Amino acid sequence: MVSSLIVYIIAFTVPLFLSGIGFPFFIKFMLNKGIFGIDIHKKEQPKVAEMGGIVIIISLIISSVITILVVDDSNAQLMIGIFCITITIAGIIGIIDDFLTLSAILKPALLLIASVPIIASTWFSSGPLYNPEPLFPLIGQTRLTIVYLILLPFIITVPANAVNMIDVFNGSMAITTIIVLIATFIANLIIFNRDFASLDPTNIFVLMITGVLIAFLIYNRYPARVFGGDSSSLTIGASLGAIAVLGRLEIVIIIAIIPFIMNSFGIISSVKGLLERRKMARPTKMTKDWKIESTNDQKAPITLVGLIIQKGPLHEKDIVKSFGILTVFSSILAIITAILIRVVI
Amino acid sequence: MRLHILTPKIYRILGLELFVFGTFIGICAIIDALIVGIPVHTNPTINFIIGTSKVLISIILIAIWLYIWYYITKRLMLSKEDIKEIKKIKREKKQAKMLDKKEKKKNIKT
Repeated sequence: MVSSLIVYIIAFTVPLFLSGIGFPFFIKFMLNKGIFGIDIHKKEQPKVAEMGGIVIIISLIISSVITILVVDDSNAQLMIGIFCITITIAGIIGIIDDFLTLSAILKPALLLIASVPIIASTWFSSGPLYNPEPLFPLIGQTRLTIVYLILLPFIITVPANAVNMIDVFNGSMAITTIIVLIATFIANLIIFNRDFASLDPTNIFVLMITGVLIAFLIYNRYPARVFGGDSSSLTIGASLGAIAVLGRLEIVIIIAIIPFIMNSFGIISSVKGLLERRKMARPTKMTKDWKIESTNDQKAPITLVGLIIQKGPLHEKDIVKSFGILTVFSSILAIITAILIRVVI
Repeated sequence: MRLHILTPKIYRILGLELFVFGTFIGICAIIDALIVGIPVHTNPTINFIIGTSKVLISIILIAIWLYIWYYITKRLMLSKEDIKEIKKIKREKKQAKMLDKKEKKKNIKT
């Protein structure tokens, strides 16, 4: 029997290692095949390999299989399997979107399918893998049963789209999501008072995604050598939703991703509904010294970036740092939420 | 990290985050004090109605919270000029409606 600590180490290092060695080959391959995008925020307009999400998805599938093999608990094995299928479905939708550009309504609608494995888990185990009793601060456990089942698909779709909308600059998605995952990890320890001796699937999920994101960040940070594409952002966003549902951390994750949701609110309100990113007017343009400033185009969506550069142009790196500060702040609030949950359960 | 440069640019968003969090905790406190405390009834039908009402009221409160969050985010993301323009358009629409009404009244009289 493998100890829990070793399982955690495997869950973190395997995706880190796989993506770490996978990205250089992938970048070379994509550039050779001519599948690249132009980084318009740089003076040199470099060619950057696209669809890095494919490496993320493959790494996560292999890591999930290895983790299932080393884990000695059938319930944990099932949870890891369901988690893997959920994020793979989201990833495949992302890959299709990268190739075909799905409409802004079809994409979130298709993402609702990603929640099916979690709902269907009821048939593979003695009970559902999710608990329809989310934990609220100051209130504690609530019984939502039917309402929860109705909301469940949106718990996957909303973070997936929110992460997708924040993935606009080098490293912005990876940095902010890693911060959210760290807060989630701490919140999970606080709420359920767990130690590393006991096996907790939520910790495995968080460590797996963090591992893969650290490797991705190495190649996606400024100046990026690979773009994740929708395949990466939808996979990572859906994983946040799946962690929220399977780990009973719905409220904690909602609080931690406040900046992401705010960004989505701004876009949806300004373009009056859902609109494909490529069909929207550009909200930003480059200054002569290659800083990012607002276009002041009335048709352009109002984004979090627009709000940050409202007082003047900023360098891409500074905007990503601002995203980081906002996410650190919301993550602290998420940990406070976890404490407020802990005191009542 | 150039925190001293970046923080003044995002303090309004940080304030909004705090507001969103504070109002959510406030709503949770209201639900805990006024809704969760309602005792369980011995009659199953009444108990079901009470339970459903509890969930509905809580959902309405959360929906209000989400709308306030959405509305403030929307306002915050608009510049002063945008807000002025929106107000101007609204005023013009109101005036046009008023004129329409007056004309209709005049027509009825004649």
